[in-house]
Amino acid sequence: MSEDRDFSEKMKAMVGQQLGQTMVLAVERGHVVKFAQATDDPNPLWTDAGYARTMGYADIVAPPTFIFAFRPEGFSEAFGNLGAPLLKRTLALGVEQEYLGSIAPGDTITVRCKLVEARERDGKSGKSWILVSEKTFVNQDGKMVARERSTIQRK
Amino acid sequence: MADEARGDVGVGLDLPSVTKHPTTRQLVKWAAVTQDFYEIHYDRDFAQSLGLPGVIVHGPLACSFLGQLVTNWIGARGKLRRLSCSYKGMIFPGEDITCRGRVTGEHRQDGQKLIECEVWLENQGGIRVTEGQAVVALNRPGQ
Repeated sequence: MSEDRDFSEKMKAMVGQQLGQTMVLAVERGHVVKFAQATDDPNPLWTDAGYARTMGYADIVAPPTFIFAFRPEGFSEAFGNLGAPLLKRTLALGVEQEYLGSIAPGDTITVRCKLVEARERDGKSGKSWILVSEKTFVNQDGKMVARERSTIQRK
Repeated sequence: MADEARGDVGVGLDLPSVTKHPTTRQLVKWAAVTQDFYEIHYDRDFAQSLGLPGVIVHGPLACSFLGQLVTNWIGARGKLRRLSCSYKGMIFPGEDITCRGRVTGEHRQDGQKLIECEVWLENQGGIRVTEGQAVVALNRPGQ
């Protein structure tokens, strides 16, 4: 039907658009320590500066998955509502993270997110859309320290 | 554990497992540090209104458990470079969750040895509820 085709074209035309606002976050020691505590990870590299220095670091570093703590304003609403009101439900399918450099207290990380894929899928319970967002994490020196691709299903 | 990562790493080597016991308190702590306040993770009435028996563990928290599995294993000998997870099943607080992994391959890139691993979370019933892959970069000699 032409309505389906219009909807499909609209969804695909959104690939490349930014999701949520650009986020600039100063990494705080307390946040890194609380993140390690929340995951119940006793590795002293994330919490003990003296230990981190014996390992060759200047200070504690954040666990790699600390990038889950960066949530740009409006990202969840923008990503999770794509295709609304026709698409109503969201299911998180998975995530891929790449760690290119350390993140430590005192760093300033700029996070941007955009939609990079939108494809239709025919499944047992009907049609759905597979949507992939990509976040980039750049530190105060302009170095990309991490990337994350997050995949959801919307139907 | 770290010496195993430094030496010859054979395909099939099992990573030392890690057991996690997520609690509702942990889910609240996770919500606080990630600002993920979706009610499905702390409001039982809300979770049950969606047909679930109770609140569920956040997928990214489960992924972080797998991150810990790998960083525990490599220790000071290298760094986690990539981690991917697919959320296969729900995890409920109060369950024991076992993180497991196995080396599946290795290759060299820019003079650095990279180790590929299959990683997963098993629930109390032995079912894999999260599956993924990890890539570890071993430190260069003298690093």
